[in-house]
Amino acid sequence: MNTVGKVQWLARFDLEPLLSAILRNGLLLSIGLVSVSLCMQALGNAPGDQHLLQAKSLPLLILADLHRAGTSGFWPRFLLDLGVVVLLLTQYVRVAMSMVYFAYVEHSKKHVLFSSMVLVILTVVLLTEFG
Amino acid sequence: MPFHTLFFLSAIAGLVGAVSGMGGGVILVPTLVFFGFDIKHTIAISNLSIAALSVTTTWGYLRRHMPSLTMSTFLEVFAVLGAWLGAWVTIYSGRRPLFFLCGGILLISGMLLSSKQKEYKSARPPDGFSQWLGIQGSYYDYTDHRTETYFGHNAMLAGFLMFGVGLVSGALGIGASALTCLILEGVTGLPTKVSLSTSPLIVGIMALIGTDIYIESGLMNSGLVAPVLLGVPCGALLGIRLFVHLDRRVVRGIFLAVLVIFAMEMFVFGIRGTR
Repeated sequence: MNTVGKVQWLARFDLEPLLSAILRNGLLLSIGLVSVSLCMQALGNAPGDQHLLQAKSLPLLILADLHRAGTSGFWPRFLLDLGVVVLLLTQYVRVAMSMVYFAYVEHSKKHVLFSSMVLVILTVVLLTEFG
Repeated sequence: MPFHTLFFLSAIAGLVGAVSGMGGGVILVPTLVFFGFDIKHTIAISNLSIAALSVTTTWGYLRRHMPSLTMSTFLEVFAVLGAWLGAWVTIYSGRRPLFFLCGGILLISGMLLSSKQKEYKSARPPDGFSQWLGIQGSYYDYTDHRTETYFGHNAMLAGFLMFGVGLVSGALGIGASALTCLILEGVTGLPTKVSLSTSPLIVGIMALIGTDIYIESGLMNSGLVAPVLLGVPCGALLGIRLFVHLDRRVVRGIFLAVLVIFAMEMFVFGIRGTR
């Protein structure tokens, strides 16, 4: 795409439908993962498996679950926790996409600043023990 | 409690949240506490339900180009900081203050619900800071079949107030939706429909922060996760469809009565010091 084409494409770019699609697909994926987890629990030997979702950060939660599932062969817990993480990351991706939009389409430095501040706080909270 | 009962309660919470604009936490927290769940676990799961509810309601509004993204982007900065602090308050606080705070917020939510009667429309010109932020826009009103233009006001004051709302939301998992709508409509002067569609964006981010902190603190019970994650969106989608057919005065009356009963329940638990 040449420069003129890029400018025209950016001028026509509509953020809201994209954000709507991100939220819808994230929620559906999250619900799907939780549903599969429930079905596996019901079909397997551990109906109503209960545990506390606990880890120092979200990536560590998923990694610990993945390791546990890999060693024990019990996947419902991993899928349930992954469903929660996907739901949370859906909002994170929404903020990130807004920042990209403000930077490359709107060229609004102030809105890039505000959305990047939110993104930084979210990143710190989600990835570190400061959360 | 069996899965189907929790699923049903979550669906009711989602339905009420979508129909009333108050969020699902006001139903979920007092009900689960009544059935014997620990209030801290209940607040944690309420944050997750708000995250699910906000995603469900926001995606429809975004397709219709209704939310003010410029306003939400600015207010989210304050809201996330408040929610972060609020979640830590709950983790380190005793249970008795939480019961009293919950009761108080439920009563305030009830008052806000009963006072929402007419749409606020501002004819004032925007102040300098709000103008600099570019808080203006337009939306298509499907009721009047015309495009409405609006300007935002008092963005800085709204930002500081949003810090307080974030604090309440992170600490209690209830009340954020009603209070955010109040600020967007009453302080910034956004039209009701823009306020209602913008608030889930901000509330969702606060819920994300709260949920993450409660997970890191080990307060998220997996037994509650599945029914809430499946029930709340189902109830919300049903609520959005029912919304146009319901007599809003009757709905408000019923919800108001329920909120007062729940608030009293919380005060009683607070006086006892336990459920």
